[in-house]
Amino acid sequence: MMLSGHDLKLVERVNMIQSSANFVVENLEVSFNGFKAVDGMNLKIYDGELRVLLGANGAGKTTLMDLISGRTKSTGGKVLLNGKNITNWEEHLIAREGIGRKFQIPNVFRELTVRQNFLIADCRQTGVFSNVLKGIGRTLPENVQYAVELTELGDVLDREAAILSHGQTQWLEIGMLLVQNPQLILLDEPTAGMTAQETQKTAEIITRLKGQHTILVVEHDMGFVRAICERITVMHQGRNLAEGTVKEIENSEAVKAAYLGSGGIGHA
Amino acid sequence: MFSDKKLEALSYIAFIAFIFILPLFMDEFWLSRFAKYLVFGMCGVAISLSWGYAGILNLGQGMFFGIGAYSIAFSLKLAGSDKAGGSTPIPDFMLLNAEPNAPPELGQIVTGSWIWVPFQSQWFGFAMGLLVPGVFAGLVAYILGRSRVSGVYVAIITLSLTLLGRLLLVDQQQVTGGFNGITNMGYFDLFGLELDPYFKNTYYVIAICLTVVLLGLRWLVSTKAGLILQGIRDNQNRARYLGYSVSAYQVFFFVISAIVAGLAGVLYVIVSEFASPTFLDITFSVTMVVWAAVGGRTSLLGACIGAILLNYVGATLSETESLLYAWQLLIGVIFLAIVLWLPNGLAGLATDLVRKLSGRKGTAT
Repeated sequence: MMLSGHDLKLVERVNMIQSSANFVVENLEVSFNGFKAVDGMNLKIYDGELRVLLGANGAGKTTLMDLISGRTKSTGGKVLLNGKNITNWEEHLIAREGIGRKFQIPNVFRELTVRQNFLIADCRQTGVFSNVLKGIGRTLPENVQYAVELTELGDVLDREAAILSHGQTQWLEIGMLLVQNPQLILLDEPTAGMTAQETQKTAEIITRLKGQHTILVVEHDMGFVRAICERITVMHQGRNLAEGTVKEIENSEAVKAAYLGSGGIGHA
Repeated sequence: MFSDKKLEALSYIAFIAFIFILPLFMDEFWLSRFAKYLVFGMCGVAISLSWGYAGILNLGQGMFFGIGAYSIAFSLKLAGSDKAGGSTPIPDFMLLNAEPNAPPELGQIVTGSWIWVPFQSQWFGFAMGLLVPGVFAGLVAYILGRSRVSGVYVAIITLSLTLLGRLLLVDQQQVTGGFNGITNMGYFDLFGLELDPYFKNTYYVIAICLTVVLLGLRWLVSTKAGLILQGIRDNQNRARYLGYSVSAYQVFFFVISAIVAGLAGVLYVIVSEFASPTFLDITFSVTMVVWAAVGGRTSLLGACIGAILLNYVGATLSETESLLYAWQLLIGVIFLAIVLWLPNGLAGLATDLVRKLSGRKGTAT
């Protein structure tokens, strides 16, 4: 049987998904003065997947993100991206390797304008000298324009980021990630402090990212999780407790046991 | 309507025109004074780059200025010294410090005087005045960046290094002239043009240098690298997670700032004909920061004008008989007022004023 070009692509894609867990965390651990915030964490995320990380306060979610992005140095285990061991690299080197991060508290260049924020996020070239030779044009590069449209920040381009609303600041940071265009995006509670409407818009933006990027997102809002999610990983006491679809997780005995008395993850 | 950009371009043009027209209205005495003020203006620019743009409060600018000053002073001193029986000129203070039977050669007359030998070429002195501050600053910034030292600690460390340098200068009297510094120098020979501090040509050379530095740095901060640097000043972590090496950018701009300070030191010696360990005093480095704060640290031109203005006002006040004892107090009050009410200095005030005026015009018509 002959396969058409389209079918071939499909086959390739299926093969790729089956064969490649391009982001792998192996037995990762870190201890702060004897307390193991992350304790033997294992995680595999496939290319283009959107994975939600759930867990109670103190389960180690943010610490895991810190370990992956190089902010905290691990005391054991490995982080692999495309088979490359990037454990405990410096932050900017990990970023160059293809991992972008959005923090829980909006983290943008507050004294600079929205336009400048986007321009700095355009970081295909990171060296000092290559950037000395680069002027700043009047028109925005295409990838920046795309991010501006997606985040609907076109009207506030020349305002200082410090005076944006909370939601706008969050979108600006997500938009900057879009411009940065990393292979893996880490999102730490992207809807924290948002109104229902803002949350919905954020869910839309994130769904648009799906497929083009691998995304690992920490989120508590179950409505939001249902809206965006394929698979969930539940963290408990610094470890991977359970993994599966929303349904599987909601019915998981292990998860119920860990959250005993709180009525399941819906109320976590 | 005046956009901020237009205002800025106009201010640069007005300032540069001003410093080049000045010689038409001034006698040699005031012109030589103003040449010094322009040099201080260059110091202000250097501070603005490292403090305002890179966010590194450097209290060691006096050290880079001092290294530049001493480098050229070595050369100019030799140009103004006679031979003492040997084949090379020997500075007078070395003869005073020499052992009775020391050979009258520059390389051997006192311990460590070999360091002076290459300075017989004044272009070597000039080059060292820029190179040594640059390399030294690079080293300091690299080490501080590696260990992620920031904020007030950078200020303390740079300040201590400066004082250490001062100690060394005073201690190694036989090669540096010690407390007395270096005086009685020859002139710098710029391709046949002797830079006598009381000649108009010298003023013009300094004005050209300042113009080149101002426009060059203005261009530099307008590049993408300049924008990234400001991002780093604002939020180092965000910059890191975008893949930028924070220390690489800070080292680069710190080095540029130090080279400019070194050049200022070189020019200062050319126009004032002395080099002294007071360049490495705490007061001088702090004074430079005050100039930049008054002028507006986030504006290169503002910091430059701040330096020139404060020096001019200081000189005028100190020569007014009734203010003989109070002029420093007045300068202090000006500084306090600006820090309290004008966080962006005079440059910020100018921008706000123009914005307000043009805004009013806009609503009136």
